[in-house]
Amino acid sequence: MKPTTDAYEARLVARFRQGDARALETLFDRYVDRALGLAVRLTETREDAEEVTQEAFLRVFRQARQFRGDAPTFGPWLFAIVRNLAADKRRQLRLPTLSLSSLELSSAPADRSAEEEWQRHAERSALLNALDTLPEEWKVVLTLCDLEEVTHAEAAAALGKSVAATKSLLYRARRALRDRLRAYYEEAHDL
Amino acid sequence: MTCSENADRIGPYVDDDLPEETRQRTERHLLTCPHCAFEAETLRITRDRLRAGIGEEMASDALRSRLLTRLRADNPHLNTAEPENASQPYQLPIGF
Repeated sequence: MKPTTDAYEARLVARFRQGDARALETLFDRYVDRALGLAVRLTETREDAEEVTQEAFLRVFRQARQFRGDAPTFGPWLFAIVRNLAADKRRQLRLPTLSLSSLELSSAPADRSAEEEWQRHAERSALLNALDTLPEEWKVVLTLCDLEEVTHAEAAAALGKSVAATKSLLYRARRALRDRLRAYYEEAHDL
Repeated sequence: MTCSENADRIGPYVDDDLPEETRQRTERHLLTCPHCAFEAETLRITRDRLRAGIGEEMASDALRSRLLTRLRADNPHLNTAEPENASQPYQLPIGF
């Protein structure tokens, strides 16, 4: 029978517990970008995101070391910790959600390539701003499923929901993001 | 199929996550209903823009190195003396 990714990662977790440094490095390499991606979407600054990512890895490996019996699936376990740590960070700052308004979009450049670059910049900014206005759970599901492209089952495990409920949440979140983007572009068009 | 029957199927349709028969029924409805077709197309564009427009976050080499150093220090049980043929992380089996 073909081994599953879950089974492969469970073996890596077991090897890590037995003292295999390469198992830790492999799990780290597989997940560091996705964990950072989720942390960036859920925190205020890059510095906070990196801090959350570091703490999440420290915790997941500490818990893996101490776990009795079958450990949870590594990815969703890590994502759930990132989510909790990011929520703690936001509570510390007393910032419910945030807006990325640091991009300077006040003047369009003259030449064509710079204009295209500016347009991409503006669209990215609109997307980030729209995403940041969504409730945290919607941001998590969009980040995991659409940005990081983790499976519905992994996202469901990270969210503590059934796969069906996670899909339903994803479609609602996409609709909300679509509506916010439409409002943004309609407003921009009226200016 | 009516628009209200179709409403809950548009999200899974966009993700190609419907059983074949339901997918075909949904598609037939979309071909005759501009409202639902617009809904499906704008959701598809939103998903694709999100995937392409923001891009993946990449941990810098400096961050990777810093985190790995911290993780190794936090896990003193690890055997850091590497065997000769083990300088790279494990590769995922083909197909993953």
